[in-house]
Amino acid sequence: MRTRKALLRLARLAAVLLVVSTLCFLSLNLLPGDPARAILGESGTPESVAALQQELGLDQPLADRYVTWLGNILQGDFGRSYANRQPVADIILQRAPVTIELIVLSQLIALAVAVPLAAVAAARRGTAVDRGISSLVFLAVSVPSFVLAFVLIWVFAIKLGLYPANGFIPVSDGLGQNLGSLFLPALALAAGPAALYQRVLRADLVETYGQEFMNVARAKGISPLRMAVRHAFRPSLLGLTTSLGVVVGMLIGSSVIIENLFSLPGLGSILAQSVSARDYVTVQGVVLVAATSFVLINALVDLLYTFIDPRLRKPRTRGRQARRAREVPVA
Amino acid sequence: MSTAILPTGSWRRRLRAWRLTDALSLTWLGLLALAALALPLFLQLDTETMSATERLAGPSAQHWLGTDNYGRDLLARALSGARVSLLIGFGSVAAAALIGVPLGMLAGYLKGAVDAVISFVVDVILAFPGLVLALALASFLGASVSNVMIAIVVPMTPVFVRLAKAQTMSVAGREYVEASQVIGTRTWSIVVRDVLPNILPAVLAYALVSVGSAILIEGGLSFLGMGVPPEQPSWGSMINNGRIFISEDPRLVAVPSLFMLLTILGLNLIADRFLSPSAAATGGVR
Repeated sequence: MRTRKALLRLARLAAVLLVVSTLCFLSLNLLPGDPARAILGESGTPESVAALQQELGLDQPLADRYVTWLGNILQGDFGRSYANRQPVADIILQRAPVTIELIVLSQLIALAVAVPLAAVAAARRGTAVDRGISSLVFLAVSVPSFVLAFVLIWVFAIKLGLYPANGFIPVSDGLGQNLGSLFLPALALAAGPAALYQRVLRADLVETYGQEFMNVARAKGISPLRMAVRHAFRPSLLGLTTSLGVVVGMLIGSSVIIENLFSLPGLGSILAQSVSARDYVTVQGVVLVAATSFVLINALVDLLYTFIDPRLRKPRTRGRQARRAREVPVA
Repeated sequence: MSTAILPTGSWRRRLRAWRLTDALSLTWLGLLALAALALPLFLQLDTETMSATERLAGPSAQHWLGTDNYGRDLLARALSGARVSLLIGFGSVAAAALIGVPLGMLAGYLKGAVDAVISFVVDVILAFPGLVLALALASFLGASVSNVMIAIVVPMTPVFVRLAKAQTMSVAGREYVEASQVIGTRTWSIVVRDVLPNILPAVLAYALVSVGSAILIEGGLSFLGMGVPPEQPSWGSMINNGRIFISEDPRLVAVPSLFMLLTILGLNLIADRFLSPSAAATGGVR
């Protein structure tokens, strides 16, 4: 029964990925008018249009082109960027590490801020401290990441002169420098997720604190810190895990803006650049990679549940908390 | 509608349930809506007049919030941007809800094959990160207000489907629905009369939060130069225009940013007052 369920899930995952890739293929091929002309725009001479038509295989029927395209993708050939003739796969491989580092760094910051704030708020629930933290978090949820980025640039780079406003320093020039160049953008990306983590974790912690085994722990006279760390955290991690999936989607989106703003050479900035340069082959490749990673990460998050909360392994005995955690709508 | 969102009880208790933040949020949104929608009827907002002598001028009696790098009035442009942002925010959310909620109710009530098909389509659309999909759509469709709205509606609809489906499933098992089924009421009538009114509060609350998200996506698209066409100022494009002057005159970025921030904050605060916990968890974040 369980293997059947797992197989069904896997099949569904494969089907979603197949349809996603098909849509990416069609997006380029269903461009209004002739794709080659659309890519080249006004500047296209009849010769260059004809050459591109041949490169994209436009002289062949759509179904054939699709099979060829899918075969190439599976072999890691995403076609060539029309802007600089580089293979799109190379562009993606070059830029992905920057985006991944930025996202991981921002989430480390977000968790480092959110977890203690959630623990304090839950332990002191209903007090002025809790309300103060909640208000702060509410503000953080509502601030667009690029607005926060401008505030950071203005304060740290312009007023205090502490920090260059943009540019990226690779790890090869020193780890400290590298992390330094990512600090402000990571901070701008961290605020929204941190607020979300704090809200979700606080709510789950409050629920856990109300349960029997916590009363037992309290009765044993365990210190509040030990109670939080040893007893309360693990049963309260579900909401946080769920929000991880939501947050990755958010981050992929906001990294487009933040990378663009801080001139970071990541996937987000190349997406923005290729969109305005009408470099549709690159757009197609980056969107495909973004969607595929997003789907796979969400599948992993689903798997993570069962490790964190054994109650989920048998579907019939799911706790209320666990059920609720899974119903968080994905924005 | 305001009575429905407040705790029940005597008017005294209702009045006490109001907080300062509610009043401030409603005032801000009200004024903004009034200024954006009604002002143009009486007064021509001058968003375009450029002036070489008044470039980057500070606040004055003539220009309350000063001027931008072309000498255009910032307040007039921000209010004009409010019109674009509110139109796109409310318009695209209304469209997403009108498409998504019926589909979600069908999936949740009929289950089976209908649910399987609808849920699969939802999964596929949700596979694309929201802003990435909006950006790709906007670039393929080209810049116009309606295309930006389409680019926002597509990634937003599936969330309404999911929300409506989950809510419908929890309502569908209740006694009053079963009672209607037993006496042979038609399916559409059950869905419209018994299910819809009960899922509406959660849907409305989420819709309010989504208006904030839609405004944010529009801002992001305009910021990347893929939003509404340049002749219509929007908050995002104003921020984008002002970014190179950030060290010279941060006002150019600060004014539209503040308009956007206060609006999203106000929408979130009001939604939070009658929000279901699940929607509260995701807040107004993209």
